Amino acid sequence: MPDFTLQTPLDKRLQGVERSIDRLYRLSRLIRQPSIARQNSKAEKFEIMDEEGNNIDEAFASFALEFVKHRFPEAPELLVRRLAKGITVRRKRFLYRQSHQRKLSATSTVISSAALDSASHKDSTVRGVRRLVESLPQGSDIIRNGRPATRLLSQTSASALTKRQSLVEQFVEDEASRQSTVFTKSSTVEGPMQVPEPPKPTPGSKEFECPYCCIFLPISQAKASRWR
Amino acid sequence: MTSADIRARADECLGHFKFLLEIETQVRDSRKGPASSNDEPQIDDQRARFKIWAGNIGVFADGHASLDYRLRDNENARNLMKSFLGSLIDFLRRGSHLQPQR
Repeated sequence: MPDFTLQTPLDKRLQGVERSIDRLYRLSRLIRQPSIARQNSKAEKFEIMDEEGNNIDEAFASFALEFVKHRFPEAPELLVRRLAKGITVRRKRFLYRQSHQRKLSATSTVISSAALDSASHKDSTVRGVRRLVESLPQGSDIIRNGRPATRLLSQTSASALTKRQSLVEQFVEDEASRQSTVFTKSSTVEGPMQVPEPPKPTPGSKEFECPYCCIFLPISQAKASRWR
Repeated sequence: MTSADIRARADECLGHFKFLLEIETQVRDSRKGPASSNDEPQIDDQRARFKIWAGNIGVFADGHASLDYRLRDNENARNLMKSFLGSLIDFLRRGSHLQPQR
């Protein structure tokens, strides 16, 4: 625990900085809550592409079908199809979110490379800064023939937060109870289900970005039991 | 035309972070001994956190992908966001005022 009597005035200001940024993260989580649900319907229409930009929707769907048949050779046809469809839809959701997130992170201002270098070496939050670097317009997927493209390949729109959604009460409540109201998913099925490991956050970081759904989660969610 | 107030404040934050870091670097360089009390890494950490946040929520994104656009219909959220950014600017500014002038 920090000894407050030995804190310099600058330390106190830095604490203020840290707390302000905490609030920014918390508010943003609340803002994005409703739009995560909307994303699922958009994701249905998402097209899965390979490295060369070919649509491989069909190929993936048949792969999913074969995979399920192989895993559960005795399952009834209907169930197999449903499962395969579920796998495909879920994959699309992840891909859509990643693509959407890349577009949100892309900026139109040129951040000097010196600033980026120092941030990527010294930051204490996992992966995020590297992704920011990758998604800037200087990234290789946007520059064509040495000239930076002036617009992204497809427009993305941040879902509007409507007036009805009153955040202030939610935010205050959230802060008071110190509980995340969003991610309460408890699975009662224990079985041979394998879930990918949570990312290992660098020590000292307070939040991390889920590499699968691109949502920021508080550090407490990175523990194996809560992750599942 | 959506206002760009949030983006403008976030830009200011970046500016203040940069300034504060420059000062810290000068302070560190002017001390000939081990920089045990240097706050540069902490400031840099917070700046990284800020940039990651900004990227995730789309503060600096263009047009419809931007945070300003996202909050165009919700005045409460906009004001809340602006006030949080305002207090961040305030803390950063007060931090740089504390540093000894060369």
